[in-house]
Amino acid sequence: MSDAEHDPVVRRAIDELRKVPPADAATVRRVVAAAAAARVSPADGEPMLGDIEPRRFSVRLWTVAGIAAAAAFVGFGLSSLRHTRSQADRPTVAAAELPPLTPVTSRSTDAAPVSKQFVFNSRTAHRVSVVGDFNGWKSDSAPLKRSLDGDLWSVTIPIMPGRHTYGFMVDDVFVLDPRALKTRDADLGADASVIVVVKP
Amino acid sequence: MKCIVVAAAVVAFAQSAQAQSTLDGIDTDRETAAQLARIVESAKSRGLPTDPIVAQVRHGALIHVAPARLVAAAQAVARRLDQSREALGADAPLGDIAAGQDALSIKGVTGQMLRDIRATQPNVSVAVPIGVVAQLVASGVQPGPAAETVRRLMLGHATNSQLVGLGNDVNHDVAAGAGAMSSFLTRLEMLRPVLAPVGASSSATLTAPITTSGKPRP
Repeated sequence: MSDAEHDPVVRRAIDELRKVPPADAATVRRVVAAAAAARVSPADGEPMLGDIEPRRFSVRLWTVAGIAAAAAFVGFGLSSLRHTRSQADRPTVAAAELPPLTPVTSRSTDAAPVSKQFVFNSRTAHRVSVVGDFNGWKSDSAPLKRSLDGDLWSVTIPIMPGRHTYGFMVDDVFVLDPRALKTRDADLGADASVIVVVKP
Repeated sequence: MKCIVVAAAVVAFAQSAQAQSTLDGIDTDRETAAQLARIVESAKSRGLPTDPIVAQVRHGALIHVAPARLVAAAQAVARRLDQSREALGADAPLGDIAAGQDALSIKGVTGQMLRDIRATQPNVSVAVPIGVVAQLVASGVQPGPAAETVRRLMLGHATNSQLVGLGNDVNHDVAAGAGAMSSFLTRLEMLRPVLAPVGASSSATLTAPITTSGKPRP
């Protein structure tokens, strides 16, 4: 610490400058909402390795651009708030210029399918597939692949957000998912595994 | 006149053939297949999504349900699709109508509950909140409190992830031996900050910022 910093006046000035300005809660929420809106491709919803589409690059660009814009906006907002300490009459960010606050859920995010992985353990099975209301209970639409050690089978498929019932076809026999909760289908008088999918 | 009759017959035949084709590969007798095709056709002509009906039929066939039960199940799904659309509105996304149908299949879930949830977010998909209500009720939570709580959480801007988290937590608690209502109330404590007050209406709460106390600012 230099001598100048021991000076009570200088010390007080330093303390004042180090204080974080009070952030306007509404502004912060809008900035967070803008950043959330810019984040168009959450990690869990991204395609698997080897399934990369050309469009992915542009999506990433927009994501980065959106986050950068949001970060710049936060910086600008905080800077403006800091200035208001010495210039009390100066207006901060005008609320009218900001997009309206919307709930986190929205049609744009909910209408998109979410990648979901299904895993099944079996060393003896020859053929495993996942069947559910998300694929019309078609036993050939989502076959699971056996892992290298032969025990674990898995498949990742896109599913619309919501509640879904499903099960596995293991060598043409319907089997519930031991990892999932089950529900009773009163119409058919049968159990099924249940999953509620949500955009992360 | 003859032309109109012939055209109508051709259209009916084409629709029947299409309905039949969507049911292809389903192992059932000819009479059952015809009945199922008629149910699908009828739903289609009323503008209902037919995928849930076909999916239910495939599910039943997969687990070798008796033909009569298969037909009854298809009819039940078609009926609930009608109820769901009536509750959610004709302009509701097909996914929401299907979600409403699924929820209505659980004893205790009513069309009014779907209507209330839809009114909370009229321009946004409500498939997930409806699914959570269904999940909670299926777990043993009383339907009224389940639906009202989800509605109030939506009004408080709870995210879909938070709603699904609540449903999954209760589900797991119940699977572990806990009482459904006890688990529901305990797990709800975590979401108090985003629980809109009793009697909150969508118009009042959605426009007001939520404070940390969970109550909207005046």
